[in-house]
Amino acid sequence: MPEVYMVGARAAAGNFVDKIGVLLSPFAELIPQNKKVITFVKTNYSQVGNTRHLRPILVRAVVETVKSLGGNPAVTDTSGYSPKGRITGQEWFSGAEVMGYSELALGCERILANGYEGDDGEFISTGGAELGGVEIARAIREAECIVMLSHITAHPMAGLSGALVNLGVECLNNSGKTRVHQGLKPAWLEGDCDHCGACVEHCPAEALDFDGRLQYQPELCLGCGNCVAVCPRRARKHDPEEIRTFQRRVAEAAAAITKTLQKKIIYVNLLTDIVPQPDRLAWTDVPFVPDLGFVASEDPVALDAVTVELVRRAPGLPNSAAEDVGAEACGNEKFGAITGADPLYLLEQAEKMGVGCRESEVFFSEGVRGS
Amino acid sequence: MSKVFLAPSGATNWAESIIAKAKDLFYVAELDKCISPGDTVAVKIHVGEWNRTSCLRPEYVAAIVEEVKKCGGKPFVTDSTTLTYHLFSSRFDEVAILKTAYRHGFNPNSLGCPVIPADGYIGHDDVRVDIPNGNILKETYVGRAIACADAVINLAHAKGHPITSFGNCIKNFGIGGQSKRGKYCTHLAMWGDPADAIGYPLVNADNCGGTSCKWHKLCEDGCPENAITITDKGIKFNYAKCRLCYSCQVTCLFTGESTIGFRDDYFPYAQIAMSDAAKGVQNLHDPAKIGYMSYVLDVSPECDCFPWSGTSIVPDIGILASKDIVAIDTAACDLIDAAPNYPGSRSDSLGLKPGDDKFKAINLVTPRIQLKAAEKIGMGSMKYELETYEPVLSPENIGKHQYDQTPTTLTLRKHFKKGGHILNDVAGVLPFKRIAFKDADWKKFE
Repeated sequence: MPEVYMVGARAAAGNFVDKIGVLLSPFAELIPQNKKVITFVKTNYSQVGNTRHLRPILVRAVVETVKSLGGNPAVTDTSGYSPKGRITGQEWFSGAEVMGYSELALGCERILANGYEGDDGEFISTGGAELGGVEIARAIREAECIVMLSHITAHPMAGLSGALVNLGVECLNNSGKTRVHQGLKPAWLEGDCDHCGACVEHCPAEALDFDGRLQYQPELCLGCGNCVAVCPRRARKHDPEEIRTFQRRVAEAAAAITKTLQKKIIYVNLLTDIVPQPDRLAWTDVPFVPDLGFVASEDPVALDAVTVELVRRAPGLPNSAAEDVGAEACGNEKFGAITGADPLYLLEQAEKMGVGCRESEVFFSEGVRGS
Repeated sequence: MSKVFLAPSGATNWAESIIAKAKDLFYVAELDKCISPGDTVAVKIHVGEWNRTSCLRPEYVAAIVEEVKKCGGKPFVTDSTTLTYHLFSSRFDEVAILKTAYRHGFNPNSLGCPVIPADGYIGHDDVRVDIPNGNILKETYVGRAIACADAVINLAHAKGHPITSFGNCIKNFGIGGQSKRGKYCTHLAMWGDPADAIGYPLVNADNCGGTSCKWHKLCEDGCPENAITITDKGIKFNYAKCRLCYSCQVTCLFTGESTIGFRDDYFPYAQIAMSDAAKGVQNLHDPAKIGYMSYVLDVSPECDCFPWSGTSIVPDIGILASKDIVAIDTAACDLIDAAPNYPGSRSDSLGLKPGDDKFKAINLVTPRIQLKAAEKIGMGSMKYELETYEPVLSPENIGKHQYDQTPTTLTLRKHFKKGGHILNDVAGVLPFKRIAFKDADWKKFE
């Protein structure tokens, strides 16, 4: 049965860097000791404008821990799409500096995993039913050891943005991301629309326009789901079948990395600033549950299952998306209630495809003052 | 006729700083016209190898980045990853090249813009380009960031090179602009047969000391393809594995041994291929979107790709700018040849005279082969008109490129206005403790 380790969010005079050290100590043997082998710390610096992304100092704490465990760390991330279109290297590297993900802040170099125009990568066949194969970003493809940091948020099509979405979407190059998203076309609920134009502004493919009515060109649509995520009236929605298709694709892409490529991966989910919007957006709403701590495992399915459960048990915050949908009581599954995408289906499919196991044994850490 | 603008080194006032003059030259040579507002602009430099001490000073690069921004461009400084052409090459992948660049001061804090390795994590991130009229190469592979930037400023450091004789703007594109695949291509890897010793190292097996050579373990470890085995009988070289990265040749030659090296004919061919590869970079852009500058300073006999810096061969000459890559490189060679020797340098020990082909004497092949090869395929002209730029100090231009365009003395005035002058603080700074002026006599120290 997979093991999941946890440190709590509370603190009284305890240094959270020590917490990260305690959290990662069960995985010390996975860190390559040969300094010529890089231990990649995979994160998501998000986009300029997002104020709830992982604090750089949290990433630095992981970098310092990897160093203290004898590893040679470098931080990496993939680029994707902004509302203006594909993010190229100049924008990605400048944005990283603005968001505080500089070499000085992180304590090591930070590289772009999928190259200047986003398509440095390699196609890996999976033999799966949804995709058959998917393009993995170059640095992820080449890495021997990865500490995969996932900032926990909701996701409009996966339900939960955690270890599985980090693997199955954020570790891909642009072709891979397109492959996972393509053909998933949201519907317009005209009665709920108040013509604010946010979806038009946030479409990276210019597939949406306003002309009295919302004009949508499905042949241009990338399926990225930005329009669904930004609509304040929830007037753009994915069909539930399409949501499940997306979740199966994410699971299959995750399996490409975990089963086909077989690397040493330590997954860390950071249950902090848990907001409705995934990091790839340049803005967020307020958190919908309190900070709950950090969890780590070698099994991404177990880790995401524990994550969903922790958020289910937690109280929703007042005046947040959880309250908006009436899911604020402890015991309510909040990711699905907020997004309409059931995270448990993603976990079930990922387990079915051999990515991991939903059942686990959870160990709470002692020894960090105040936790 | 192509124009090349020269701002001589040497400065005696605010407007003459080599940085102020370089910024002026950017506009005098109309490099600003390469940039439209919103353009991503690749500022291609050589970030140098670990422990190289004569790369471009970071502030020279920052100075041009500042002007690119003023033109509305979105600059980034870039260089490509390298083959492992020496034992301790420090730019072999994206992490290594960033570490090296940052150590040399090429980092976002110094430059005011990102530093982006041009060809991805290990060098796969590239664009294949045809060179239909190439002298030798008919295609090459260019680093993605350089290929896909909207405009390119080729910021070269003029210096020698033991293989290409000389390196300036042509080399900055023809080697530095290439991805790893492009570098194998421009090295002429696997060209001809092993017996030709052009696309493969020249191996003088009889000279090899085998396991009694103190370098033999490094020789074996130094081949990224595992093509070398050293036994007590000598060297076994597996040509089938060789990709001509130069590592074994550099190790053997620069440790004073003589087993693995180059055939003399290799060097002129390498120059020609390098010019072809530079044309490849040009083929990916409209000529109106590329500008060239050359810093003829710290002119060392070997390239920034060496992990050391030999003594400069000439005193600093100045900065060049042009829209013509052949003209600017020819002008640099001409100026270096015309210059006196720097005392204690290789050209000094060779007794070279002003006007001698210095790089031919030092590196054994004339650098003009790359110029002729480039001219032949329409990259530009070896005939040029040199225009010297000398700013004349005036109240209008004195502040143009300074920390602030109006005197910062006014800022300090504001600091002191409120609390009183720093020399008038409560502890009583004035008068300073010293002997009385009437008791001083400097003539005692003459």
